[in-house]
Amino acid sequence: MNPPEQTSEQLNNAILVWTHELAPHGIFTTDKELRITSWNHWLERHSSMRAEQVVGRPLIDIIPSLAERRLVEYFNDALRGEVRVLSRALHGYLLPMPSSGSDTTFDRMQQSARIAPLLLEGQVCGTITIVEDVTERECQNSILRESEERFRVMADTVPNIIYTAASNGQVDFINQRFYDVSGLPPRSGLGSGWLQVIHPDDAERAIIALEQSIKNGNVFAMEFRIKDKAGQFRWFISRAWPIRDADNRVVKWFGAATDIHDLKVTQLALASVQAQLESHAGRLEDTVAERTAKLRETIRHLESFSYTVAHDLRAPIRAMQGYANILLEDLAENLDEKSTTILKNISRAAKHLDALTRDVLNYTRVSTQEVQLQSVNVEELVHNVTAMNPALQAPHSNIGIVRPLHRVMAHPTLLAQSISNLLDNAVKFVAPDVMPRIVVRSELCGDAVRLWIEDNGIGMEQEIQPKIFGIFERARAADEYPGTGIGLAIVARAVERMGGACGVESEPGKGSRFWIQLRPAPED
Amino acid sequence: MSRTGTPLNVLLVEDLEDDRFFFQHAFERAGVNARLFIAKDGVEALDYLQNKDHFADAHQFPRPDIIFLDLKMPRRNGFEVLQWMQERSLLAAIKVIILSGSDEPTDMELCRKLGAADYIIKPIDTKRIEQLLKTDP
Repeated sequence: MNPPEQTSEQLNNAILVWTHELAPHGIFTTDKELRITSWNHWLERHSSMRAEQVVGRPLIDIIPSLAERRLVEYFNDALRGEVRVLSRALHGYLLPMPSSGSDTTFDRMQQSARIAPLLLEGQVCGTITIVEDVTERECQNSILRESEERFRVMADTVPNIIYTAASNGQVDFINQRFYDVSGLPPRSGLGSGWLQVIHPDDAERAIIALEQSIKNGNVFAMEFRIKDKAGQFRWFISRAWPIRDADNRVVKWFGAATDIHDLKVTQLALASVQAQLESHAGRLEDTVAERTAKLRETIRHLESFSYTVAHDLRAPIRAMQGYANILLEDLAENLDEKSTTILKNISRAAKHLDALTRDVLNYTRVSTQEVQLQSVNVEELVHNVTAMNPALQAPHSNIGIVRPLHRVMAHPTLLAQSISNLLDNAVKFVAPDVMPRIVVRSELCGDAVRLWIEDNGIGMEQEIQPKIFGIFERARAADEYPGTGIGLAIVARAVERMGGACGVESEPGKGSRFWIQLRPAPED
Repeated sequence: MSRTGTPLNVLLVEDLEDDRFFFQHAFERAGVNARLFIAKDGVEALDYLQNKDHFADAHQFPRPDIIFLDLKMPRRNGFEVLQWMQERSLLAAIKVIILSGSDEPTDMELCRKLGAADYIIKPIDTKRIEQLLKTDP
């Protein structure tokens, strides 16, 4: 169905009704004397002046400020056939009207206006003015401008370099701080310009990291050096965060770079010192390992030497002793008294030499043996020691144990050697014709166990007591009480190796009380 | 009390001439019904047990009932001889008594593990040897 036929008059009427009644803009016309000829509804509503009040009156009466604001010219130009646009930026408004928006930024409605000649059959018959309310738009712009201004002030006052970049990474803003630091001319840091002050060793890394972030949309973060205006490179840490639109597309990058030069220099110095320290430690370890290996080698040689001494040196000593004994035992009837005495002396000297060799070996062994402590039953150990030596058994001696003997942490061989030597001494150093009586007991002494070996022997003077644990120290002349002078040195060394202590309490003629102190074994 | 009937065959494995002399002296003093054979080191001991080389004549060099074995010897030492015998299950028939100058507990322990019946520390004690020979079945 075709629309009904419209006459040109009908169409003109429709347009007139629209401009007059419905248009969302102010529209008014004047005649050639600038008297108002029409005033639409929008104007009535916003100016609170009805058409009847203004039509026929001169424009300058209705808006007296036009003259002082030099706006009458616009209308005169229109009468001369020109179209004039009144910009809000320059004049704010054409018609003084109250602000329409809820915002209080502006007292008056902000307007832009077009003032054009009104033509009738090609002749100017007046003016037509269209006024647009731009208050709302200007409010928005104003907020934006303020915000931008605030950002700029902030960006230029913080001690960091602040920048923004487009989604492709091209820098579109960089703050004053960048130029203060780099000494570059204004705006030269934009685009990829900032790269010219990045240290050559860092630039490539920076580009790669940037490309990576653009590709993945991840936060860009890296440390690099920026050449300052004095030509010195300073360390910065830079981070840029992606700003996304509603569709999660990165539209912008917002970044900041902070001067961490002093921190970085300290860190690098620290790392260097640490590396030096590690290198020193490494060298020290190597040296320790080397020395330990040498020491082990020395100990091995010593042990090998001890073994050789034990077997090769003692064999001829034993032979001397053995031959002398055969003569004394089997062929005694063929010998005179002097020969017998000499043979006995040879035998005794050989025996002493053997004992001396054996004790020196024991002392060496005690010194070099690897010592690992374990819980030791002392009573059992004393029994084992006495069982192996007839001199420590009845009828030669009487050894009593006061039970219970505390368990101790010890090396069984070293402790057995120590107790054996102390018991040997206890039965040896007695007055002639006295039956050795020995008591072994133990007591808790603070956090240690003290083992006592008490005898009824000849005792010793106070002055010599501190010396008797030294090697080759003797309390009595060798011809009176034979011995090697090593036995107690072995005890002292063995106890020391087990982390313990030893000592003696004694008085001449009143016996001796020797003690060994060790750590107690934990209860089972 | 001396043995009667079959004589006891005793092998002494000892490299030192002096110690061989003392052992022979003790052996003679014991006066038991026994024959003494001598190997001068570990290699000779193994030759003897296998009747090799100059011990080839099994009649002249019979299998020993008891071996007195020194530990520290050239070529092959006493531990090697013991181990060799242990690997061939010879220790049930032949009693091995160690005769050593070493009083190292580790040496004693190793010999015990290798199946030695006894361990005597030198010097050779005539009475002890006599006692051992006389009580041996």
